[in-house]
Amino acid sequence: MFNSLKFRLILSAGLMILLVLPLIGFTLSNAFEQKLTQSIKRELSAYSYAILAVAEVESNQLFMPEQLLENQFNVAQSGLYAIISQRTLIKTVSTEKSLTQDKFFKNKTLWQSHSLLGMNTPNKIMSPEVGKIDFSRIPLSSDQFEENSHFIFSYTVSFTTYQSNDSNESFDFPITIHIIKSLADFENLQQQFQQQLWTWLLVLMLLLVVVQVFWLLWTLKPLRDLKEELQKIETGNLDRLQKNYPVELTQVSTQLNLLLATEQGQRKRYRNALADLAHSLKTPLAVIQSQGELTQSSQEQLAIINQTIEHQLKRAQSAGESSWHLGVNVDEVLTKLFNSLAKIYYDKGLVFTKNNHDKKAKKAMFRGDEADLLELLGNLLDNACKAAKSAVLVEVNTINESLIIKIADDGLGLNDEEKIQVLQRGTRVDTYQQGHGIGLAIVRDLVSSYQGELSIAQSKRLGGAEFSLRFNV
Amino acid sequence: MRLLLVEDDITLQNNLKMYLVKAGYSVDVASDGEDGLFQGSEYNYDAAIIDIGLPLIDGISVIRTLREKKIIYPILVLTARDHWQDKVSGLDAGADDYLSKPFQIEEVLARLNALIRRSVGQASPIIQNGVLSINTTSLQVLVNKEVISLSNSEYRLLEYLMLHQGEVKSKAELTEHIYDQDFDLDSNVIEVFIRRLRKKLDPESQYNFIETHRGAGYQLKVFNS
Repeated sequence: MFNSLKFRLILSAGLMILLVLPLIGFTLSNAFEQKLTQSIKRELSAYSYAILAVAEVESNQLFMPEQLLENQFNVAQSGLYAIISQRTLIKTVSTEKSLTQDKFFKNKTLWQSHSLLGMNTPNKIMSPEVGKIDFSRIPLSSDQFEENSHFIFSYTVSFTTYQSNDSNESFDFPITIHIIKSLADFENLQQQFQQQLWTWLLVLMLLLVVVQVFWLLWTLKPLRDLKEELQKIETGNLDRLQKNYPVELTQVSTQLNLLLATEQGQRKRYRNALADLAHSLKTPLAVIQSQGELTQSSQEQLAIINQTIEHQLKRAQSAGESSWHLGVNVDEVLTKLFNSLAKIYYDKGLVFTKNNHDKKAKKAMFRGDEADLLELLGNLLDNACKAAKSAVLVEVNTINESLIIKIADDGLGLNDEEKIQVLQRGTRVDTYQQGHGIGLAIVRDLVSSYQGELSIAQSKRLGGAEFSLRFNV
Repeated sequence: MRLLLVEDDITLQNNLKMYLVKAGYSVDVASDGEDGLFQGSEYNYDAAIIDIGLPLIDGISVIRTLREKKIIYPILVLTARDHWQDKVSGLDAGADDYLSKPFQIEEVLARLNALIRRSVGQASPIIQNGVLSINTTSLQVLVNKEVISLSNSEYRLLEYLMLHQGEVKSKAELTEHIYDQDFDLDSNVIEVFIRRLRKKLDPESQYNFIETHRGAGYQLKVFNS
C-alpha cells in the first residue's frame, strides 16, 4: 500500500493541506496583532498629546481643566483613562566600593481622569526618562482576575517653571502622562479577525481537498486505463493498447504494443516456418508411400519418420513456456472443433454437447495460445469421437482459479492399465485406423508445458472415458 | 465419377491419379491454386481433392472461393500441416474432410467414396434399388443377389445413375462425370455403354432398369426394395 503512486500523492497533498495552511494562518494572525497593537499605540500617543496640551504647570503645581475634550476620559469606567504622575526621589544610597549612587524613586499621582472614578490607581506604573515613551500592558484593580487587561502608554515630559511670578529662578518639573486603554476593543477586533481567518482557511482547506481529489483522479486516470487495458489483453478482449496515453506513458504503451506485436508475429512466423518444414518433409513421404509396393519394414520406417516429425514439430510450436499469455475463449474453440468434427465424423451421426448454458462456462478463458488449445482439445475430442457410439460431452468449469475441461464419450472406456498406458508417448491402446498414436502424447506434452494436469476417469453421465484437463487461470 | 485433383508435387499427383483411375474415377489434375480454382469452378465434379500448400493461391482460399461460388461438390483436403488449427481452418473454409500427409492410398479411396455417397444422401456404401444393388466399396454389382460382372466404364456409368436414381441425366452430363476433360463429348460411346449395361443387368428385358428419354437423356427407374 505504501509503495503506490496514489499513496505518495495523497501523502504530499495531505501534508500541504494540514501543515502549510495552518502555518499561513498563524503568520497572518501574528501580523494582524502587531499591526493592531501599533495602531493602538499611535492612538494612545495622540491622546497623550491632547492631555499634554491642556496641562498647565505653575509654581510647582499642575493645573488640569475640570472636563477633558475627549468625553471618554470624563465618563466613569469608560475604558479610557489618563493619569499624570510625578517621580519623586525617596533616598540615595551611596556605596563605598563604587562611585555611583543608587537612587530610589516613588511615583506620586498628580492627577487622574474622571473615568478612573471608583477604581484603584494602578500601583505599578512605569515612568520612563524625560522625552521617552513606554508602551506595555498592566492589570487594573477592578478586574483582579485578568492579568494585563489594559494597554498603558506612558510619556514623560518636563516643564520649566518658576518658584514665583517675580522669581527668576527656574527649575524642572517632570511629569509622566499615562494613557490607559482597555484591551476589550483590541481583543474584539482580534477575535473577529481570527474567526474570519480560520473560517476562510477551513473553506480553502475543503476546497483544496476537493481539488486534490479531482486532481488525483485525473492524474491517475491514464494509469488506471493502462491497468484496465492490460487486463483486457490478458483476458483476450484486446490485442493491443488502444487508448491515447499522456506523453509520459506514450513510450511505455508504444513499447508494450511493439512487444505484443513482435511476440505474436514471431510466434506466427515460427509456426509458419515449422508448417513449411512439415510440408516439405511430409510431401516426399507421401510420394514414397504412394509409390505402391513398399515392403512391410519400409512402411514401418516411414511411419516412424512421420511420427517423429509430427511430434517434434508440434512440441516445438507449443507456446506454453512463453511468458506472455493472451486469453482464449474456450467455448469459441469448442464451437469450431464441434463444427469440424461433425463433418469428419458425419457418418457416425454423433451428438456433440457442451455445458454452455452455464454463463460462467461460456466465458471461461484459457490463458495461452489458441493453436495450443485447438491442438489439446482437437486431439482429445478426436479420440472421443473415435471411441464414442453416439455422444460426446464437453464440460467447462472454472473452480478456485482453475480451468477444468472434461471430455467424455459413451464408448467402451478404459481399464486402469490402459489409463496408465494411454498417457505414455507413442503407446496405442486403440485399434482405430487413423492417427499415429501420438495425439495423446502431444496432449500430455502441451499440458505439462502449461503446468496443467491431465487425468482419466470413467464418465458418470456417458459411461465411457472421461479426460479431464486442469489449468491455473 | 469425375474428380479434380489439385496437388503441386508432380510425383505425388501422378501416383495419386494412377490409383484413382485404377479405382474407377476419371481424374482432372491441377498443379497450382489458380488452375485448381479455374477447373474447379468450370466443371461440375463429383468430388475434389485439394492440397493446402499450393503455389499462387493456397488451398484454403481455393476452397473458400469455390464455396462462395455456390459450388457444392465434396472436397477432401490433403495437408502436411496436421495441426488442429489447420484442420479447423480447412473444414471451416468449406472442406468436408481432411487427410494428413503421408497417407495410405486406401484411406484416400475410402474417404472419397464416403464423401461422394454422403453428397447424394447415401449413408451406406451399398446402394439398393429394387433387385439391383451395388457396393461402392467393393465395386460389386448384384441383380437378384447374383453377381454381375461389369467393365470399369460400365460400372462407373451405373454407379452414377444409381447415385442419382429417378433423375434424367443427359448424355453430356454422363460423359462429363464419367470421363475426364480430354474425352470427345460428341462420340456416341454413352449409347454403347447403356446398351451393354441393359444387356448385362437385364438380359430378359424383365425390369427395364434404364429408360431412354428422347432428346433429354437416360433415367434409372426407382423400384421399391
